[in-house]
Amino acid sequence: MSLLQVSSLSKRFGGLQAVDNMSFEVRAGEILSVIGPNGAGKSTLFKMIAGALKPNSGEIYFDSRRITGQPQHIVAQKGVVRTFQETTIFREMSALEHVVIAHHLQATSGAWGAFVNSGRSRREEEAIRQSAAEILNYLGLGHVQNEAAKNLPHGYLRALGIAMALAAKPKLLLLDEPFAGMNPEETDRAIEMVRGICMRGVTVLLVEHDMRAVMRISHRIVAVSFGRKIAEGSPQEIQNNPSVIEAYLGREDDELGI
Amino acid sequence: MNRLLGPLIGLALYLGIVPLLIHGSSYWLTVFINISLLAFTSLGVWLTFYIGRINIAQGAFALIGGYAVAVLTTLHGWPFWLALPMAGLVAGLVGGVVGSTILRLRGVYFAMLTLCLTEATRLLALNWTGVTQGASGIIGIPTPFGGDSSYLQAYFFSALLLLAGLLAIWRITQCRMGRVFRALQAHEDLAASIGINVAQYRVLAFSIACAFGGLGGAVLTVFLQSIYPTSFNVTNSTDFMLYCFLGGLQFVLGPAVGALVLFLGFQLLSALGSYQALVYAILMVLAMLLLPNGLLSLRFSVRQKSMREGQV
Ligand SMILES: Nc1ncnc2c1ncn2[C@@H]1O[C@H](COP(=O)(O)OP(=O)(O)OP(=O)(O)O)[C@@H](O)[C@H]1O
Ligand SMILES: [Mg+2]
Repeated sequence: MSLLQVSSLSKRFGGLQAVDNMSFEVRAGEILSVIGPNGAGKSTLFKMIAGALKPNSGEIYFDSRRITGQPQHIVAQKGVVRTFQETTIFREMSALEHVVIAHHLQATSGAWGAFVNSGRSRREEEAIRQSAAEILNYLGLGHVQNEAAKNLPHGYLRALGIAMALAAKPKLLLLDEPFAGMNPEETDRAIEMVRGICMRGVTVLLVEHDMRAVMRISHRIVAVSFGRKIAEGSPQEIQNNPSVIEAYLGREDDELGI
Repeated sequence: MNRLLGPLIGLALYLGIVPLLIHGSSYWLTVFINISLLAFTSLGVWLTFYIGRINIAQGAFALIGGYAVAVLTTLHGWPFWLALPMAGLVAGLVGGVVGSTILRLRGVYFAMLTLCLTEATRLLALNWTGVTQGASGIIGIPTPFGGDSSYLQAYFFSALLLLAGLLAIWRITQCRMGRVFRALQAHEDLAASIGINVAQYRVLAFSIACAFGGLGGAVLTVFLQSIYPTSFNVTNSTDFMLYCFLGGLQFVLGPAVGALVLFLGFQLLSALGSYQALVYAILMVLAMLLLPNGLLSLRFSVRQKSMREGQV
């Protein structure tokens, strides 16, 4: 069953066709990776799905409902939540406060109740704090929950981004290069983490350059180059696909200056 | 409990000792009435800082509140106690409408626009003669404070209004709404990604801020019993902002301390005659250079760690 459907999606920045007529679908319960050389349009694609960018044309359906061009908070409400490629944090806040804020959609008591600190709102607050602490523990951040985010090392901040996204209770989680800047050991742990998240019933769509990680973690892979989808299939199929090899080799040729 | 001690002492001083010392002097009562009301008005500017925007429009909303209360009481015969909340409401609504368009901008662009808004509001007040009576202003505004103790009544009313304002803003910073506002200040896009309706919360914060401006302006107007298009102008807008800067943007008490020190300081420097403004300006520059986080950072510098953990 397909959870997300992307059809003929396009995005242009001035003269640059960043995403060009792209179509694919994400099945419920799978881990699908999008790979491609730098500048291929992967992040642009993610931003359009999450509602952070409006496409020029094409459609996006989530859970069979059209979400094309809807604002981010609405898309998040419906269950599509993304993390950022660049490490993005509320600098001064503690890790715990990040995840507490990310429970925003879970808070149901009214604004007035919260303002006057009603019993109901206090109980809800307590439950949210507990849930936030649990998520941090689950992602191995429990021992730094009171540290200001700006003092945390890079690897922890990547995990914090995922913790925030999880707090918003997504059905579909978009991870933009979750393993970037991690050493092999950290990557191994992060892979297990993402698998665990998928096991808990969250469908995962991820962009990643670390091919070793991608091949291990993905159920299926979509390869893109210059904004177009060039291949789709199992990790095995993608590894042996001539156009994928060419896209990556072509880039290497450029780098060598041939 | 320890954290409450300082504010409680301040409160006792302000509601007990100060009026005891100055109750005989209408000059000093006027000074402190101004301080309370200017501080109250600045709380709105502080709240706009809290969502990461520099607001130099508070003069405009004080003017709107002032005209609202003047027109309602003087020309339509409303009682003050009904006209006052109405003035806050009008300013808040205008703020909401204006805010929903201009809050998309940030940084200097937003600041510049708000500055222009102050000037535009003055011109509107000058030219919309059907409502505002133009340059001749509205005079003879009825006051609820009467008799021998009218200044003392106004003092207590202003002080209590400030107290209520401080309490309201403090509660905002402590509840979910404040958390969302802090998130907006830190990173709007990240806030949106976890389902926060950024545009709606920005407008909410700005509306509350403008309502504070409207209420403060309304009470000041009623105290002075007159209003003109220039009653609240660009200088006032800048002052409201400076009170926040000087007091400290991380502290709810910041604008109150800023207003107290700056307004009182300016009065005390009046002995210097024509050098008053110059010395005042130099002292202000020094204060900003030496205490970039505001006067209150002096008192709280030892407690920075607990501050970072979200205790505002
Ligand atoms: N806001 C923007 N304005 C103009 N051009 C943009 C914008 N965002 C992205 N681009 C361009 O669009 C192309 C695709 O960018 P995108 O970030 O989607 O690539 P990517 O596949 O995520 O690359 P990387 O692997 O380096 O993250 C790039 O050439 C980029 O320079
Ligand atoms: Mg990218």
